[in-house]
Amino acid sequence: MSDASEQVPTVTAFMLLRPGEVLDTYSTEDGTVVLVTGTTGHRVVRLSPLGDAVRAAIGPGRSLAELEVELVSRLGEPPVGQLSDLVRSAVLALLDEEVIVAGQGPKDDISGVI
Amino acid sequence: MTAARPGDGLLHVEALGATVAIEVSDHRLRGPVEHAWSACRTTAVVGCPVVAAPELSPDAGDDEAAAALQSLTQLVTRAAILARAGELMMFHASALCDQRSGATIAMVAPGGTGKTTLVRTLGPGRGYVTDETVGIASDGTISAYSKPLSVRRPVTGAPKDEVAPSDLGLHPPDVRPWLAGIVLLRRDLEAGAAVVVEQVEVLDALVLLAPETSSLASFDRPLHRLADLVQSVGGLRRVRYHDAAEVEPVVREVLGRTG
Repeated sequence: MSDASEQVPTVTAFMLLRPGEVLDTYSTEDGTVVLVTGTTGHRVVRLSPLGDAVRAAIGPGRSLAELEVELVSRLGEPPVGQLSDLVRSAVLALLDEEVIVAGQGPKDDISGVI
Repeated sequence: MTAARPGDGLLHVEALGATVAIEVSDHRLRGPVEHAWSACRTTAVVGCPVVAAPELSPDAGDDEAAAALQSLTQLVTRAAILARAGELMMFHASALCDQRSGATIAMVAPGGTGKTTLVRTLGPGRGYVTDETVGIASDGTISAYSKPLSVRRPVTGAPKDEVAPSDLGLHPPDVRPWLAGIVLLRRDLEAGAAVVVEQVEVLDALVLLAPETSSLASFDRPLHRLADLVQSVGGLRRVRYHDAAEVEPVVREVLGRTG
């Protein structure tokens, strides 16, 4: 049963996506985990390969539309499925874990980015 | 929490290598507190943190006294964790050590999932390090916290009893404990099923262990520190079991390590 007060992350094509407050990152050949300072305290999140790529491609801040272009240039088109669907899904998961955050500000406003 | 002054009649205990002073203003609790904390008693340290035991109501019964002692244990634990944050890697875990070598197994598990039962069952003849919080220094040595064991009563909802280790046949470490192995406990098997011991890959180990740490973010590069610690003892293993006695071979193997 879902709590009515829970906020489901949403994202629009031109919403600014920025890195969340990540205290540490640990990577091996098997993947990456990050230690995030979220609204409910610290937690460790294991990133999917696409999630890690999204996090890296966001840099100091990008819109979803820009992110899709950047990921196509880095990774190419996926063999199966629509890249935009895959990226949107990964972005929503990262937002839910607060690995990245979304804001409505203009793209060049990256105040708060550490 | 305040700082202790010399000669003020406080009871001093060692917890995770820190000295904590306990103020017991209710005379009915003085004896039980002294007995329960007998394995941790130490000398006074000026300026150490002070915690106050709760006061009892005039007609307090056993349950209220037990709840007060339980609350006091939580206060001491909190004060000790606060005092050692950023110095020790602290896990929500029970631990036993070999009384000659000091080799120690840390058994990490959330509250209420069998840590105390394990040390009660497998602890006699070994060093009782803690049933609550394991604090590990950067060189792998462990600051013992031989606190009263918080023993659950058969009645649901009743307070736990804070029992002196000696009352359960347990003794604090004779030598300095050091981390020889770390396991994650999961009491999720049916009766009669064989114990399952699984090696956990390091990234999953970080995800599983982090929620059971205290003050992890106080360290510089905390994930690297945690990963180094886990890898220094051969990685994390998950132990799935039903009865505490079945974990004996795992404990015996780790306590037999020589570093």
